[in-house]
Amino acid sequence: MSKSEKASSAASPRVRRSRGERVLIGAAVVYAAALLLGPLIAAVWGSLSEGLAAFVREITTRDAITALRLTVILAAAATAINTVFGLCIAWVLVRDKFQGRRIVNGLVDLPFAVSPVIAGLMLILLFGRGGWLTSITDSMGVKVVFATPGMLLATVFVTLPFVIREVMPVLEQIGTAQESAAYTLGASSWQAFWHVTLPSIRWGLLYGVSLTFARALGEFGALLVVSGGISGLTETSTLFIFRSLDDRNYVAAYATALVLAFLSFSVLILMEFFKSRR
Amino acid sequence: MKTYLMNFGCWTLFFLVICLQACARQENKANKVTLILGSYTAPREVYGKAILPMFKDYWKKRTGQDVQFQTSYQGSGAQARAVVGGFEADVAALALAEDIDRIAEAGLITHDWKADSHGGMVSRSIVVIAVRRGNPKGIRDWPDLALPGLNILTPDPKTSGGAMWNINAIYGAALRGFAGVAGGDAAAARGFLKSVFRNVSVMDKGARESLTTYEKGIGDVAITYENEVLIGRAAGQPYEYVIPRSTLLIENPAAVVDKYADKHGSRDVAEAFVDFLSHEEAQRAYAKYGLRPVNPEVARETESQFPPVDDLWKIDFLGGWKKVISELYGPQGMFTQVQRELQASK
Amino acid sequence: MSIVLDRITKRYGKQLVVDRISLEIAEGELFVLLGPSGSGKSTVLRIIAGLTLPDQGRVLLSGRDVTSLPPQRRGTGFVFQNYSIFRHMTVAQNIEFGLKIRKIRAAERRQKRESLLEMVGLAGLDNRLASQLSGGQQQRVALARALAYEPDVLLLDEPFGALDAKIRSQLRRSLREIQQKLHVTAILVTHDQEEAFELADRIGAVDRGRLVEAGSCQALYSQPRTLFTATFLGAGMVLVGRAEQGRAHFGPLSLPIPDPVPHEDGSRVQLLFRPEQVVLSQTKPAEDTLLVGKGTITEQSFRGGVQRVRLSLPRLPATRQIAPPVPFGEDSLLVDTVLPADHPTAGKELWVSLGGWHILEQPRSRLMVFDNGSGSIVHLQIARWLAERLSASVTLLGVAAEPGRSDVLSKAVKRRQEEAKLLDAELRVRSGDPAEQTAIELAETLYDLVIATRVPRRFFFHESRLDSLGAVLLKILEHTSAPVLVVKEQRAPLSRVLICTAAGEPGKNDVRVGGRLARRLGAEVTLLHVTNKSQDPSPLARTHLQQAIATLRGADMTGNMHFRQAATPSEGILAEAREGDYDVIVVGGHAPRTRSAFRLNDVTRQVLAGTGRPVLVVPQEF
Repeated sequence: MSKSEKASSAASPRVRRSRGERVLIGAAVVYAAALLLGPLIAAVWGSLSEGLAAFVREITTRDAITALRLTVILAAAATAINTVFGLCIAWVLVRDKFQGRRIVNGLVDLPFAVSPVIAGLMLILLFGRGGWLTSITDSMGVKVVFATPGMLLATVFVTLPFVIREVMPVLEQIGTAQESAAYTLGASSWQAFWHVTLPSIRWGLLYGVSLTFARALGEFGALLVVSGGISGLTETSTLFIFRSLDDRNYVAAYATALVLAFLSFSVLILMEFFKSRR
Repeated sequence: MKTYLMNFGCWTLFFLVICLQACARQENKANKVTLILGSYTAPREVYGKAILPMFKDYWKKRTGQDVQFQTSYQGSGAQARAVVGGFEADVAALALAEDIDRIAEAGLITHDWKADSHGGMVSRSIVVIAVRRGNPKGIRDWPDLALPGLNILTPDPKTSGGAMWNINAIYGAALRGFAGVAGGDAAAARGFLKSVFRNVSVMDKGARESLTTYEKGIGDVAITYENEVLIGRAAGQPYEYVIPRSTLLIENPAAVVDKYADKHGSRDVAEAFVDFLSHEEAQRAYAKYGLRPVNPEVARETESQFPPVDDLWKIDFLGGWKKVISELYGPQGMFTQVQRELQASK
Repeated sequence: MSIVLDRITKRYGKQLVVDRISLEIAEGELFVLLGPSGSGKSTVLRIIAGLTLPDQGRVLLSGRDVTSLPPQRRGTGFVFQNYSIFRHMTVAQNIEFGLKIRKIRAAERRQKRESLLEMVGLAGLDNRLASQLSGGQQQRVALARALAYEPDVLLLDEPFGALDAKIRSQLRRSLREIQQKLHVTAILVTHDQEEAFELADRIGAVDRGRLVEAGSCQALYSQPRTLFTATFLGAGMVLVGRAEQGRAHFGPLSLPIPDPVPHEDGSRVQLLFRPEQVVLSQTKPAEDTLLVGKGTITEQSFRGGVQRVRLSLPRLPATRQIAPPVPFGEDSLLVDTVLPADHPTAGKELWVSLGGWHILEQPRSRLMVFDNGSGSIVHLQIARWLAERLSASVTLLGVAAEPGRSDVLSKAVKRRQEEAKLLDAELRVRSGDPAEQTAIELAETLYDLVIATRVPRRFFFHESRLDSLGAVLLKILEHTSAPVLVVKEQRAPLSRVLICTAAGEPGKNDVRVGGRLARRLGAEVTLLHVTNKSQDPSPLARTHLQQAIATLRGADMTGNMHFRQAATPSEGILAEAREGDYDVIVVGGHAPRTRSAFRLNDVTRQVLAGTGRPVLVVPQEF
């Protein structure tokens, strides 16, 4: 930059960018837009390719609706489970320096490292015909694989780390002083957790919860292996989309994809809304 | 804090709902029965739109019971594996006999499923060659596939059991002398197979996938099944197909999975269903959706739809599925080696 | 008694954080635990609150043994060091928290809250969010919160540490008012001696986990018993002289030793006088005054109404100054005092005498001797000799390989003790890995000198690389901040000391420590600096040795300096030691607990290996 340019940029509050910078920024924006908006636009295009009526018809078929309902129920249930247990695990990992803590900490990341398909296969190994735990579940009359419990387990496994990983750093950061204060003021462990700790970590927790939900909505690989794909019963929206492509029912596929995207997006918006209100 | 409590409550509620739904057992009450069907992907429409509703009416009229179907459609091999792995299908309707055999070997099918009038088969198809509209490359028979510069699509036998049909067809036709090489010459047939596969660019994981890739504009020809092509054309796809002079007859079996049918108490319905599949109604439905019927009456009726083949032969010619699988597709199999050689030369 | 602590002990790993602290605090008293950072005072507070459990000892509140009760049930109020108020709640919710837990009704809660807010000066801020308050305000809320349910005991852990000075003094005043008004027993932990004076009814001085002294501010300030209390609680001068027949001698100055602090003949005496006890006069004072000397003002600093001045006087013979610390290279006596702000100070020579003084307890050195029950007893003999000359208490440490062998070792060591006529020593026997156990002993008790001998190799089955010295010796050298005397051959008396020093900070410490020992032994000192062959000593080295001589003089010693040329430092040192027939060689060691593969620097290692004379290894100060 020449002296005059330097002077003027120092004087004026707005930053004057050089041509090079502008090009670079423009390129970055275009790249991001293409990567993120491209699929979205394709989904919109595809779902409306045969007109609005076709779009509405395809997303209101019985199979599409049951698939969507199953998806949401599974995601909600997996989120609930992972929130409760995730909080417990995060608490223990941060506050209690026990033997083998490092191992457990590493195991929490296992679902990231392992392909979801492997998670599905693992469940079949455990609960499938001749599986290690099948005799137990059979005697309880519960069918795990190729039925909803298996799908729930698969979804829980795949979304395990999110709440934990979001809550742990926050727990570290807030330290034990407030909790200790609560104890000296007479609060039991549970009271201290509920009144003091939980409010302090709520944003991290909420973020983790939204991530869990969004991820659970989109789970495919593990469910493909474990569900058996019984349409109307063990078919989630993702499996429905996959099947619709096979059936050459592109409108149904794109339409459902759009619905899922919309769901995830609204979860994200809600989360941002909460964040801005603090 | 109230919001947290509410949220927590809602989640817990959802959780409970799941648990309850999940733990509900399949109960076969007096006037209601559930039948679980494990099928392969191609006949989804014919079952879903035609045969299953027909059977429901039929059974209701016969017994007054309501039948509720739970159907799963996956690749034939995958479905067989699922059933073996614990998917409790009462009836298995798959793409090839070998897959049913697999279920039988796992001890889940205890009766001789081939013992009925059609050898346990309910529908048929043949291996054909799909070409672009107007057949620009002028494909007429198997030998044309060895033309250099041709781009061929066919599914991968490693991931799709049904894909083996295609390769078997080429190999068998060559052995029978319909591929431009001397008949009975295993080496020559092998050579022909190799030259065809030199032209194969993409191997999708299943027959349907292979055809949809073709529909996207990739490849000059696709080796596929007649029923797939017919379904595609019914959906408006513009391609045409060529029936080679010599081709392999694909037969699709269906059988009751004894263990599960007994466990669910649905044996009667299951057996009736499998039997129903060879009734005229059902066979006509198959024909309507592109599958050649096994019932001779219906076959006569639908002759015009399904042109005859000069030299139609079955898998027995190659020695049966077991032999074919080990000799052609095993680790030391002929086809496996051909692939390896082609890879190495690339 | 409102609070009683009975021999509270706490360890974190091997570190002894609280060492058998016993205290009694009366009802309504504001007791201050005063000590430097890391002295364990916060831990004591947490133990009283129940947030930490002691390893040994009991806590009694109002007569109840609460040692095993959780913090919720102890009825204590705690104000933390960094704001532990609940940031997501309002002021009102914070204060009412303890009441809400106890299910007090809303109306009553509100009443209490309002009166507390009034008391801490935050009336009207009920609905302010805690995160919106300033630091001082947050601490007021913390105080109000802790007092809300009228606890028996109020515990404060450096509550004003993070606030600025003005707010701090305001809050101190408020705290005092409130505590007295409510008549609540309080313990406050701080490292700020000013704060302690302002708030305390009584002060407990804590040093490295031990309660050194406890008493009123006045008592601890003007009549401390120990050196730690004397120097920590305020500025002052501490001189070390000699006791002779009931009188303390500091050169020409002679003072009677009061009965409460008896001293043995010939032992060291420590004298304390505070700046306000110094009397300056322009003319020579009368004969019967306690004259220190005539000095000039070398430093002055303005402090509002007064100015603090420092005078430099010629040092008193046979006297050493501990406080204020004398800079390396000086040998004068430094006296701090205050003058009115307008008093002219330039270049004046003033007579300095004492208007008041105080004699501390007789300082006792602690010696530790490591003995493995076999081999020569030279180190025991030397220990005895040293103990006599230094009036030190001796602890014998033996480590048995297994608990079963403790008795055998004990008997063996006792026998040798008798042989060496080391009768007054305390015997401690531990079991386990010798190196480990020695490290633990050194971490738990402070020793002024450690004596060890070269341990025969065959005693240890596990050897490290450098092992003509034995793992124990290495461990000792790693783990103690006391100098270690390594004895291999019998040698007595120890009258010639060779201090080997390199230029630089570590070298200064070697001189100080070596000089101290030599002084106690009444030995001659030679300072040695080795340079590379055919090189002259650098100007830095020369200056260093000159300063060293001056420092020794300041400690009332004479020393000669000697330069030597050699191929390596250790060669030079060993040659010099032989030629001069020295009794003790003083060298510096590495700082304890460094992780390098060579735990001792090469020079020290080589010297230790290369000579049979006693070697004093001076650890690097941290």
